[in-house]
Amino acid sequence: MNKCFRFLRSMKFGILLLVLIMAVSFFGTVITQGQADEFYLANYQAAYLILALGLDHVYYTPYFLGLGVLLIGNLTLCSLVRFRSSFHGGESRLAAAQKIRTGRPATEEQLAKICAHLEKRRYHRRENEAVAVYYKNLIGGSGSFLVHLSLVLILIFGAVVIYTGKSQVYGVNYDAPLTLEDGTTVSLQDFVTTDSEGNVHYESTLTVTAPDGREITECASVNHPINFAGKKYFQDTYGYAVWLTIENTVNGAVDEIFLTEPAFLRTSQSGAGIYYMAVSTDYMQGPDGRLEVISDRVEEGKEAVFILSVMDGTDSGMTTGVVAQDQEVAVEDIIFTFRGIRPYPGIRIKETSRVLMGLLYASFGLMIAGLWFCFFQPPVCVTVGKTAGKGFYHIGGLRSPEGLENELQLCMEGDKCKT
Amino acid sequence: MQDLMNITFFASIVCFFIAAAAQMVGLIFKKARIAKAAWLLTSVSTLVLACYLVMRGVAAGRLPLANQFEFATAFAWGIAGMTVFLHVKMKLDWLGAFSVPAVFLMLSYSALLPRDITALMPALKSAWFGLHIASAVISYASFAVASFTGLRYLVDLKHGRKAEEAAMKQLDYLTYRMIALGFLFLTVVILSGCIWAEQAWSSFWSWDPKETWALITWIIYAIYLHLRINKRMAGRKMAVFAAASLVFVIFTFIGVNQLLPGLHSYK
Repeated sequence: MNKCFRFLRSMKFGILLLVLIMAVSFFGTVITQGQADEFYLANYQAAYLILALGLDHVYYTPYFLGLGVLLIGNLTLCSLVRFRSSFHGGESRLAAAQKIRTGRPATEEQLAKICAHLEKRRYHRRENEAVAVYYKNLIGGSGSFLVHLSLVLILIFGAVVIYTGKSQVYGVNYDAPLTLEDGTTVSLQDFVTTDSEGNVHYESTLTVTAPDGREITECASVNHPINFAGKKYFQDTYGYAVWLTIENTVNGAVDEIFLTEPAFLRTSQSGAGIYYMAVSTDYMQGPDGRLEVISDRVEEGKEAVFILSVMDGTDSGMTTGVVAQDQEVAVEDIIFTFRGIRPYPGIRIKETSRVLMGLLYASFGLMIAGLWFCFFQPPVCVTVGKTAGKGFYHIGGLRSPEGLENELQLCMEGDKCKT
Repeated sequence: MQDLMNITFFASIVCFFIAAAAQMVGLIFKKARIAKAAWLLTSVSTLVLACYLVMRGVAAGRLPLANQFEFATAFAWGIAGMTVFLHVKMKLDWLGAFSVPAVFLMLSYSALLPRDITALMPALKSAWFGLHIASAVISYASFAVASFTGLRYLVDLKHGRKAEEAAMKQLDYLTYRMIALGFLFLTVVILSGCIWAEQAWSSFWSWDPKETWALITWIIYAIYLHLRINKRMAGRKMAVFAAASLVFVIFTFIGVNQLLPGLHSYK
């Protein structure tokens, strides 16, 4: 049992897990992820193996998640073991350094040079009747613990944020506000795809009304989401909506709508109306004035043509054709006029706990601090003294003492200490 | 301005080529004068390249780190700057013979890339842009220098200089310090990237190839550091490890952009 526990918290096991995670991640980068089975069957010779091992969605396979869980376990055990020595290690290191009575030999003159050098480097000094101990960065001993702890926290908070966060993209159009399940409404005021200088810039001006009546009108652009009432509104995608006006010639009423997909617009109960199918800005006009669509490409700033069928309400009365922008199509008492295309945004609405995100980011900070302590503030104790009339010095506390060893060696050899 | 920038860029490439040749001649034939001239030329070339980056930054109205060309140039400058700094600070005369040719190669690679100054893509217009990419430059440059010190260790070992124990230890220690520095900054790159990705794409981790390869590189160096610190491994094996690990950095930087397009494909 004890052996098993030791293995589970060992560095060997940790490295093994890291290597396995690395290997699995490698497959995730070279095999296209998240496609339908047919895609793999058509493009990969080893498709059956890919599908059997779940390499098509490798980051969500039980074995990959299992490796993550084992790594969390390994790091947690490792952190627990380090906890005591990390925070109580400073004083015990110092106490141990004061008990040292042997080390590298040095003459009195060399010891004086070392002491002067260490004092110049702002080492603290503590002495007893036999030795003097120069020390610094005792808190730096907690660096390794902080790094491991922060990694555990990042993995845990990260997983919780991913699995508990709700996120979905909604197309938001000009004519109708989007209403979410909880009653929040999102209305689009404006959407632009370029800035004033003509550079690509996606920005939606949205009015968000929370269920409790609070309202905000703000711009959401890439990198600048709107953060309101527990939700974040991200500028995610965009598409083109077909803008058309509908005029009732009987009462003079004019309505404006935006279509993002094929739709049948009925004018009466008889079944008359228009069926809008597609839009394109890639077309040509023949000498007879007939419009012919070349491709389904849509580009902003170009005149568009619209493919539609007009139904007059009889079984045989359907005409399919292409109409130009601003061309009127009359069906019974209704006049449809396709005004053009207008970009509309896809807004990603995400609900994540702010507390969790705060904890996750705090863990990031903890990791950076831990690494800084670990590599650049290592605890160090240099014991300087005499035993049986012979001088010595001893370097302790450092995980990699070579740097200081070299420094003191150079200090003893030269007239001037090099740092 | 454009002409002046082009002249400065190509002048720096020529300067680095001559400096690389001089560094190697100085090291192989142990000619002190040539070595001194080589270091002077390396410092001047680094300054010229810095001028180019500043001019490009002024012309673009942003940090010159927005695409593959700009990053490659900044990466080359990072290696050169770190080399000059270490030479001044630690009198590592031999370092130039390893790193200056690498700087020349990196600049030659960047010369093959489109140099047009374009407006920032919407995803790059962020306060995290500077920290994220500048940290990557420092990190990659540190790993590159660590690789060169590792190579030097192996060369020394092959030529039987094992007797100079203190010098070998110092080399080994320098490799470790450079990797520690690179690792710290690579962590900053990954974590700042997470925060940035959350703001831009609403998800702090997307398993994009660049992210995944940055993680793989991070794991590789984490393993190095664990072996070095906890297992107290040093010497030949760790020098090979440090030298070979640069392959992962290069693949993350160039290979991923060329072979595995994703969210980070800012060509």
